Amino acid sequence: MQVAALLGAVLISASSAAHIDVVRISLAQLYLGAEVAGIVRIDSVEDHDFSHGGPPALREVLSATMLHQYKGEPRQHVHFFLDAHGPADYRAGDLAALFLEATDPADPLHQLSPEGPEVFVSRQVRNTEHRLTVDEVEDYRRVLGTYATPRWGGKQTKPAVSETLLYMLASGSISLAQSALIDWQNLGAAVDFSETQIDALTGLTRSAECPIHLRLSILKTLTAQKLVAQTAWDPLFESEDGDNLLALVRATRGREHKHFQPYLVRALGSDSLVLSGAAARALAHPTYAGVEPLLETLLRDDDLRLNYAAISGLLGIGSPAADAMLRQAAESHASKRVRRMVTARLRASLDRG
Amino acid sequence: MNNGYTSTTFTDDATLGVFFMLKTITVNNGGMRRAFLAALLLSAAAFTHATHAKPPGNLSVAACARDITPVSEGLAEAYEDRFGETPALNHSDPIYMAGFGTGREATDYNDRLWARGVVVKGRGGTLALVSLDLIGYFNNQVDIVREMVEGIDYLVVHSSHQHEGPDTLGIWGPDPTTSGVDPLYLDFVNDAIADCITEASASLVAARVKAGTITTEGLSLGISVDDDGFGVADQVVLKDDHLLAPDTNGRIVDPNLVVLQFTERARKKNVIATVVNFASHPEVLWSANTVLTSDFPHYVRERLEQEYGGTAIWVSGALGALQGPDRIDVSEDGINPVIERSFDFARVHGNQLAERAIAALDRKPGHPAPVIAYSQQKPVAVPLENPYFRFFFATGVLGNGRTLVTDGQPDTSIGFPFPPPFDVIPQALGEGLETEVGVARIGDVGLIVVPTELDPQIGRRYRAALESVEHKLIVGLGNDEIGYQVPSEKFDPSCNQCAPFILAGVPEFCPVVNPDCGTVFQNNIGSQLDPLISDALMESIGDINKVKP
Repeated sequence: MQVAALLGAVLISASSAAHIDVVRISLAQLYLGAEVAGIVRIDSVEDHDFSHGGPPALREVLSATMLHQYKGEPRQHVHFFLDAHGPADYRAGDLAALFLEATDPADPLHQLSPEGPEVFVSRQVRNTEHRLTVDEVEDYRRVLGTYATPRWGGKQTKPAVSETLLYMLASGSISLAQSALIDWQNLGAAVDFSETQIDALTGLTRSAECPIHLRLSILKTLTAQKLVAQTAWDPLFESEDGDNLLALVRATRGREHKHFQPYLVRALGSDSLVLSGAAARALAHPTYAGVEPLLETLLRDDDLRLNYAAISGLLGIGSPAADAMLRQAAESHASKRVRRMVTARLRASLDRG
Repeated sequence: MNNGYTSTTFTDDATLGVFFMLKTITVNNGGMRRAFLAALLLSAAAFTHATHAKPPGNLSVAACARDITPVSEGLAEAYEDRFGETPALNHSDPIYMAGFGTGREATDYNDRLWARGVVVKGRGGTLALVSLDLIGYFNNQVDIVREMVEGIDYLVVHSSHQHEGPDTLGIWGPDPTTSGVDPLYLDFVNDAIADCITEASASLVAARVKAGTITTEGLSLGISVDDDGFGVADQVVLKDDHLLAPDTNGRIVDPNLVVLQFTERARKKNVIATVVNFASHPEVLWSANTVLTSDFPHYVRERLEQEYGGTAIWVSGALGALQGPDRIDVSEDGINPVIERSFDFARVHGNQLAERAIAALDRKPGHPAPVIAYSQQKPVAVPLENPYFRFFFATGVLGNGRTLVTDGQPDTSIGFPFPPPFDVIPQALGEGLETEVGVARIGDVGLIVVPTELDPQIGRRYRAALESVEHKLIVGLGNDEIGYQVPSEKFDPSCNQCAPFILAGVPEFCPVVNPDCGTVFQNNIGSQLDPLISDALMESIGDINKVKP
């Protein structure tokens, strides 16, 4: 089994799934589902008339020069349709990693040009378009080359997979890194990172050169797979500020842990209304019982946005103390809007059982 | 009789419910008759216009609009530059735009996003319809809004499903595992909807209602492969659709544009609100756009308000499988197509839809005393078969207070049900989702409210069943957004059938050839959605059909 085949062990097969606009499809899955795969330069994007004397029938056809090919019969040029909701946005001159399928005879696209040149279909969308900068080409060449090369008698070993994923995560290419995350999250423990590799991944989460959401995605995956403890989050809480800290606070939602409480409480007292509000909402979990008095302070603040965040926090904690504070606010808060909101949210939560 | 659903309007026994409603109507009619008699006597005493005496109408209506444009600190200046007003901040940076890929950050504004509503009070009850320029709004948020307003018997919160606004559902964040929703913004929108309804409820004026239905044939040039000239293209053809629509290779669109207009009963007959309903994704600007806009509905509304005044309200219809403007061509001069995916396209298309809406309305006065009725089925429980949705719920990308449900109770449990080595993929474990459907009636107009992106061929069936009214709006994404709804017989289970093979990393061994995990079946609750939604809705349609005009 090649790297791509192992990495392609995912929720859905690539070729049929690539229609969707928010699809989580990795490079490996695209590679697996393609009949032709390669790095290309887009030469043209033009409407072609397929009417053949019949009713008008315009359809966009893209032409590209194959620069590096990794799958399919070798060819110098390819012509293809885009067929997807929210398809890739290729322009002439773009470099792209392209994954093409042959048109099925039953496909209306095939019927468009039965007499014409061989026309493929790309079902790549914005999330999977893999438009490349010049700097990314070498990284893509290496990864696609790995997918295309059978090793060890056609069998792939776990270390090669983990090496490929680590290479992609550290490459500096956001789209390669996101592809690696999808494979990693789907494969889980099967990736089997070594201690050294885990250290390298942890180091990535602390790299200021790496975008915060990518760092947090790596950290969340490491934490979810129990490869690191919650303490791995500490350096970020200690060093990040502004929008990065906001993203960090929000990233604790869904992975609530007492270890995060001091950091969230510190954020709660921030001068930034946005950060303070986000912290209040991040505390919305029974794990954080005990912080109710701090949230009550926000509930009494002059700013409506903080009041609403405090309502969410207290509702999420759900303790008797929180409930009492909310009921009191419903009756006597100085703001009519807050009274309305807290009353509505209490009733709605009761209705939901 | 009630198939496990509960009806908040009627009692559990629908017959009793209709009886109750008729009783209410009778009382109201009794009042009307008394007033009519009094008017006649007064007229007779004065010997004037006795023959012209009309029954006093009892319809009262008001419209409202609230700006729900998301404004972050980083975009406040752009907002001020564009609209000339200092905005209140209601969103954190960045604003992730919903509808296509992830990581699309808003950079500017073209037009404001709105919550636009109308409150309609008459014999039979009080309805409110609020349309949001948003991708969708979950039912748990609608429930909060319902608790924030008073005096409304049936509230419908509709989302236009526009693809050029903020993420309000979750799956369009910075990456596929991070939500794009700012919960602060949801609170803001809830306030805006509640304020809109409260304001309108306090401003009701005597009104009339009229409606029109017109075809959209000719609204696009029909020169592209998928464009059959109806101003919208079907971008996904389902199994056997070619048998239903052989002339268009199976492409099925809903060519009905339905218009509902409320006017003041006072002498000036000012227009209060004009509601336009058509089935097309507001996504002209497409996936590369980063300028916030409500898309072509903005231009529809602008033109209608220029024509009539009042408040124009856009309502998207049966959007499913897969109705949109991207594969059509429109032209100002009838010859040269406007550049696609541009604001120019949105303007031309919007104006042309508005002109068609204007043509649908005659100049006769509307009805002053239409019957008001509604039937709501809530909750409608739907089993969740989609592992993607389960993944997104488990990771918190979907949710914001919404949970899965098991045996009618919220179920937030998360597990790892897949076999090794995939036993690290989290899945929300609840049985399914709860949603709602409903039908409202305003005289000769029916509003069919579905929580889905409904396939137009199902919409056609609903319209045919609602035989008691002439004009039938389909309110898509009404009170919820739970994905596509296709006819049950056309649901393709291949993606689910292949799951064990796919999950085991050997999709090529799945005996099903070419499993279809495309947009329509990926954004889909599952195979039981259509029968469950349809059964519930048909019950409401049956209720409404029993109501006497």
